[in-house]
Amino acid sequence: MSEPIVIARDLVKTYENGRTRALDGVSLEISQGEFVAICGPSGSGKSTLLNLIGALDKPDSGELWVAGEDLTQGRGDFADFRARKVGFIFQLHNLIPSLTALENVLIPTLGTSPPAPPRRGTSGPHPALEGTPLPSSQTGEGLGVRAYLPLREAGKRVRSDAQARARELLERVGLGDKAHRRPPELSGGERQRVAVARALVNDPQIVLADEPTGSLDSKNERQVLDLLRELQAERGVTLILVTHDPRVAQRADRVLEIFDGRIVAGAYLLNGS
Amino acid sequence: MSFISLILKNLWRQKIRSVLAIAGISLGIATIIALGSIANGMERNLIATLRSGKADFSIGQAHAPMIVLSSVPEARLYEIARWPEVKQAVGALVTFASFPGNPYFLTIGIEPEAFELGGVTLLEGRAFSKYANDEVLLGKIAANTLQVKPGDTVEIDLKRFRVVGIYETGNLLEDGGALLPLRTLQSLKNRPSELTVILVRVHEGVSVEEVMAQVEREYQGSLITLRSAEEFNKNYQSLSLVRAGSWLISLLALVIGGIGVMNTMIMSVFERTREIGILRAVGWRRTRVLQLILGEALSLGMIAAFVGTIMGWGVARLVTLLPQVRGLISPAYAPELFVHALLIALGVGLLGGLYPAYRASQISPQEALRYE
Repeated sequence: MSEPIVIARDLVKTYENGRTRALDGVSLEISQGEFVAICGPSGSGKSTLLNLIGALDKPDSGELWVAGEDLTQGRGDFADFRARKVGFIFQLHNLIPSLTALENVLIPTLGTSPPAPPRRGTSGPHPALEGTPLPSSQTGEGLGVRAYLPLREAGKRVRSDAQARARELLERVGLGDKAHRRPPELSGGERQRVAVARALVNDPQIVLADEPTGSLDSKNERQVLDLLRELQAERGVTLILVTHDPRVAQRADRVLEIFDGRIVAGAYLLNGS
Repeated sequence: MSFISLILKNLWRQKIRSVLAIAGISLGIATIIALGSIANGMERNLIATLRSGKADFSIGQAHAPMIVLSSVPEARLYEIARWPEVKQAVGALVTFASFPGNPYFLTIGIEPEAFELGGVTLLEGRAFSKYANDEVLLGKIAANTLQVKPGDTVEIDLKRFRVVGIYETGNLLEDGGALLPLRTLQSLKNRPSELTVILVRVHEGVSVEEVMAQVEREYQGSLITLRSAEEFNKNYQSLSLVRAGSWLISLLALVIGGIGVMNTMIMSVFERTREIGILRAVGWRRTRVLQLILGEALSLGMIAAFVGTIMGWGVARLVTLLPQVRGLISPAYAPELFVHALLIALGVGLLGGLYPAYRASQISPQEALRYE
């Protein structure tokens, strides 16, 4: 089993000035590349836990490390963390109705300027800025001069890279021919598949899905779950899925059961502490 | 899709609301352009009135609110004309007279010897004689508008005059008016021994600046000398009322437009709370959300600047077609005017967009996602 990508210790989260205890000392580990379902009844705290892992919210106390980042420290709102390391899929697809499927998939890439680069194969500077060589006639090759494309060019290149990634993802989720349709022209299952592509466009390490099939019929539910499973295996991403439906939870590698803000089963890796 | 195209798509989503906001700002911008270009045109013509011809400089009354309200005693003309440095000095009385169909008809009282210095060229007929009390020369534009030729009669301030010739100076205001013998106009207006301006030409080799300085020294506090448009602006705030009005309208446009944009953008942010939450959830920074909303507000301003400029240009053109002001107004579209209008429009966008953009940037993704 590979290294844990999510480590939580004694997480506490309260609402309404402490009157509602949504999470009451949750500890867990999730390993890289795992498919985990967090299952529990309505109000058990499963969405709260997902929001903490996705840095949409902060715990009141406890420790939380996700993809190497300590999410309890710092005053920032972790927007860059979400952009680079996490992909979200919501119960209601939450697509922007005036944009096409392709444009919706591209939305996360517009969150930074220049657009966020994909994770893989990039350690260090932005790939578009990193030593993109000019023709040798312009570089003064042999003189030890390294030439870089101007920033504007780099921005354009990153945009067209993002465009290519978005198209490829739409093809992969079976909507290549519907890239220019707007959400109202798509079925519920198709919209959720667009949302899956959107979650993957920045090539995240973790995909967080909150009741992703909650508003779908059983046929579309099966299709979306099959797709998520395949993409998780193909891309080696960690998939954390929240559901109240045991049938959906069964599809995961491991099921974490949560009740009244506490994990009651499946909290640790089989070889974990 | 780029960030800018996303901004424009967001505006296009709420077409009616965006169009109404743009219309509101455009009206303000159009008013600024129309009023400003008319004021500029009037100023340019008045400056030219002083400066056309071959005079080295002009002399007017210090502290006069408008050039046509300048009053210089005729005695000053004779004093200055005797100075050894001065080759020629002539006086002119510039005033408005009533004319059938035009209560603001520009009339200039001038002696025939001053035509050269004043830049007057005769096109038809002859010059009036110095003491003729019923002869008038009509400007080219006035003659054309009134369909009058030499030999016809016209009525100025209820007195009949015979048109003896047609002249041109190249200045719209002057060519839309009439020249009368100085004495005749002084008596018609009951302003004996009074001039509006003195035009001076100095001898060759004499420094114009020195003579101007001498005039200012000699008649300190009562007379000023004018040589350039800048001096005119400095000394005669003749159009200060129009200018003040223009600034007031700019300010109103800024406030009203700003409120309009703010209303539009607050509604838009309110309706898109959930959507903004999604943007934040997928990794948009607060500053990026701020840029998005501010970008939308500034785009409204930019589009309105474009539409308003065209509208203002059209309105100014229409005004020149009114019979009451024909020949009196020719709009001048100075580049500064367009820059001013653009800055106002961007100011409106900024003023109206800043608060909604700030509000949007403070939306918590997790709370917004629960928002229905």
